[in-house]
Amino acid sequence: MLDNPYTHNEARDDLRKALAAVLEESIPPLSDEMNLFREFRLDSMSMLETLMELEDMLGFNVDPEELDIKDFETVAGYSGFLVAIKAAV
Amino acid sequence: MTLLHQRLDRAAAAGPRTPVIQYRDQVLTLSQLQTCARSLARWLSDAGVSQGDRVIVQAENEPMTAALIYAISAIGGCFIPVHPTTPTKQFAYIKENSGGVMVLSAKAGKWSADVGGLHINVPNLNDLLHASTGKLPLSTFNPRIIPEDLACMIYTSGSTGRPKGVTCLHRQMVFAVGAIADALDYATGDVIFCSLPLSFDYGLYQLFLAVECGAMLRLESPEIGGLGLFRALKKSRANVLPAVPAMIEALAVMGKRKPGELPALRLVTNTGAAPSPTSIKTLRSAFPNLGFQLMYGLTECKRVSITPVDGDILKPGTCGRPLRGTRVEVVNASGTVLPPDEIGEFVISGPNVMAGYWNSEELTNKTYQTQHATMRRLHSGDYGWMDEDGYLYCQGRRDDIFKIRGFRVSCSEIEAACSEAPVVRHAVMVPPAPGRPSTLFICASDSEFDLLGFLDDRLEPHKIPDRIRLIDNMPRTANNKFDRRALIESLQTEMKLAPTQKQEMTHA
Repeated sequence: MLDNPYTHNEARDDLRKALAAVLEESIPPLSDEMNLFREFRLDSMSMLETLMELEDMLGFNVDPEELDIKDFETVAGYSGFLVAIKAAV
Repeated sequence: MTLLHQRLDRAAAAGPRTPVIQYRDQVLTLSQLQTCARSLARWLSDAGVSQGDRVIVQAENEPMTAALIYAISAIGGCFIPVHPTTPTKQFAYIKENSGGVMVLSAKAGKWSADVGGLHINVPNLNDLLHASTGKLPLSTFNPRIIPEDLACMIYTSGSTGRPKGVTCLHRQMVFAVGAIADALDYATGDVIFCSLPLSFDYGLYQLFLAVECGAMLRLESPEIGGLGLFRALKKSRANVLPAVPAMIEALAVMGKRKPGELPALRLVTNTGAAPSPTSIKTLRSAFPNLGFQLMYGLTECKRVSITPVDGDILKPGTCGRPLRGTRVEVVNASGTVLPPDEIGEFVISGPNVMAGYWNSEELTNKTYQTQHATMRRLHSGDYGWMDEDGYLYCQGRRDDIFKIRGFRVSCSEIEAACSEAPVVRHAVMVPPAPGRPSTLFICASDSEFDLLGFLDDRLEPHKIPDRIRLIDNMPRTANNKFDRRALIESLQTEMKLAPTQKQEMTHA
């Protein structure tokens, strides 16, 4: 029997936790349309750190060749990426 | 052959069909780049640009930027590459300070020229290629240009408030390109992966190096950042990656998951700041055929030193040897040249030393000092030592400038921008350190004011502090100056109380 599938809402909250860990500050609840670069002043390095943090939290390993910056620009895109990758684990 | 565009003429005469720029699925040969630049020079000239004019180019990583640079050079104008997202206030300052007569910029691949508020469409590359200007060399466009003429201005952070326009003459740039090409292991036929912005001087020089070495510059969007780097690099089959430390760190994180899977890549060059030795080690074991050339430089002379390929293995921590035909001395506070292994300021002399700061006599004379009223030397403001073999080791700065992601940032520039806000009474910037984000301390009359939004209009994103702290009283020293050291200490104490669990990325 499969566990309950990992939901978009859970992904969004995990993203919030990862951001809080990387930026070392408390992050309010996220909404789907937020742009991560603008909203949290993430640059490409802190973006990568956030992804590494999520890998550790959720137990997956991304394939560097699968990474497309477009998936990570918005909260919705990023959460969608996490849901897809968790489904594939 | 001491004009920038003559170097393109020379290369195009020797190998007209050699590919020099690749962008998406488009490839330009040397002859095509020369033709585009020639047609553009005619167009710009008709639009009013003449010898001695400054022209600002919002340097997108697109072939048009390259064509514009050579076109402006052929007219005898001075190109000023700026980042396309330069904050509006800062851009206005650069425009005013340089007296630029035209601003060229692109929206979704369409280029236009702004002349005194009037917008004119720039012909696209295809039209330029087929314009009938003949195959004349660029140097015949304006035969009155001499090597002593101004070719380019690059705005960089100075130690006081505003950015400064480093003024670069043809002869200085041509020398720098030649000396760098001699020291770097770029080869004919190499593909150079350029995701560094063309507005950043090392990105810009990749174009000149490609022309000089017969290599092809593959232009990539700087937006790919660290996340998209591996994928884009693999797809490009590039042989050479010019990088800043953040890119090397990102590549190390990605590369150790895909060892050996960048078969074409043979050389990484680094500038901006020292890269993490751990990341380099990771990359060396993941890609045994990959060589590294670590370098040091500052816009004021473009490049100071380059390490031979993998020279950092024998000389850990080095940033290389001075360029051929140049000299680096290590001097103490009274200007005495120090023996090997003693720490002092790097002072540079040679044909790579640029002309100075545009319209800023005082700062020019302070940085480019003249001895015996004749001998001009660049005081870099960077400290370090030289070993017995002439290798340099950088230690850092003694003023308020710090480096972030390879970019020079000065505390006073941030503080100055901040103090323009009416609610801010005092502002003191504390640079970042490992585990300590950059922090701006302010005393302000209104805690609700959107200072970040205010700074966004005035500073580039990498200069925006990670955190802003509102405090009641700014600590002062015995001399009644703001006490940055006390603020740093308070941050350090805080860190000890709440130790961070974050580890260095490369250990994750």
